[in-house]
Amino acid sequence: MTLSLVIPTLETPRLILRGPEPDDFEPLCAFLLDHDRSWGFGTEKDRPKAWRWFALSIGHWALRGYGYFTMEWKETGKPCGLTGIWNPEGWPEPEVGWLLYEGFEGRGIAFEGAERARRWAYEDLGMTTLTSNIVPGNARSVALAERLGAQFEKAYDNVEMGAEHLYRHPSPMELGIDPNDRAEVGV
Amino acid sequence: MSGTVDRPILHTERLILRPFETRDVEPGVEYLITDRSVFMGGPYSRHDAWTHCCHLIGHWAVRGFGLFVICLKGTDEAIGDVGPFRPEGWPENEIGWGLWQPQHEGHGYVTEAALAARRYAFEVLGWETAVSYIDPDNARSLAVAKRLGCTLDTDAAFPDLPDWDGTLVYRHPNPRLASR
Repeated sequence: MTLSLVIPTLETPRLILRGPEPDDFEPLCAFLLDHDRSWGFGTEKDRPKAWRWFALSIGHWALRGYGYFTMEWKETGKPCGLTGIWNPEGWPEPEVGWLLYEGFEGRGIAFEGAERARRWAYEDLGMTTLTSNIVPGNARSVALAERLGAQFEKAYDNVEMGAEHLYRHPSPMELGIDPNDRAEVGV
Repeated sequence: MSGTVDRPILHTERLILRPFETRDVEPGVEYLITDRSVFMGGPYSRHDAWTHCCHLIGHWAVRGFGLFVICLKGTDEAIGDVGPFRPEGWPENEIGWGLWQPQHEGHGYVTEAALAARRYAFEVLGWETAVSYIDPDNARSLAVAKRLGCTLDTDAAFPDLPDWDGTLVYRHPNPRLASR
């Protein structure tokens, strides 16, 4: 008997989006322990907690059938961040999330990756709406959400992050994605 | 982590042990949100319990081994968990266990399950040694450790985590060397 994790590989002009691999832990850990970088995502206080988050992000794929992809920078093959669809127990609804590792900001990487993940969720998972939860004051993430066409909908209290702003992404129709075109996923 | 991971099934006289998987999250959460999980870092909020169970599934994917759930033969309902455990921050390999519901206490299920899981860790995973980390107030687990032939190892380190001060480290005998 085997555990099957079916995680697709997606592509953009500059990125590969793939499932997490054991070697992805160290760069992710460096990010999660660095409060200056990760406060808007959720800083972890030590390596055991960071590993726990890493393992949970894999289990999330098993439970939900979606989760965070590792974004790989094609030119070098190096991981440059995460993006994907996140919806643990207690979340208001599935959200598009993203994070970038040091040295990869300012090149539109998060936009490119998040836009692809969102299209995958609409086309292949058949989702009909998506959100992004943003900690108030995270101007970079607000700018990205707005660039993705998302709009502020409400303030709410997130079970893990506390006060957050929920942004609503454009629907598949508004993005010109015809749900009838979506690939039928066989069982 | 796309692809497949070997998922062993262990059989004992009365029990079936199978790797922790998605259908075990719900009963696992119901256990972790109660006071029964106080020696496992609980009681957890529902969100934290869910993410904890998710991480147990991820542990299998990353390490290639992890906690088994314990099912009574003839049922597929998880009543506890047991087995090899090595998250980040553990100084060495652990055999862990937990029984999720009070009505299953007193039957020796955990000891029976832990013996099988320990044999698997040493014989199949090739472990040379293993410990169990036990809260000194956890009388039931201390009794299990003794029944398993474990001995207190006061020189061994335990995970350097908040609220872990005073944790007892019990070292398992190597079942390959023991004459059983």
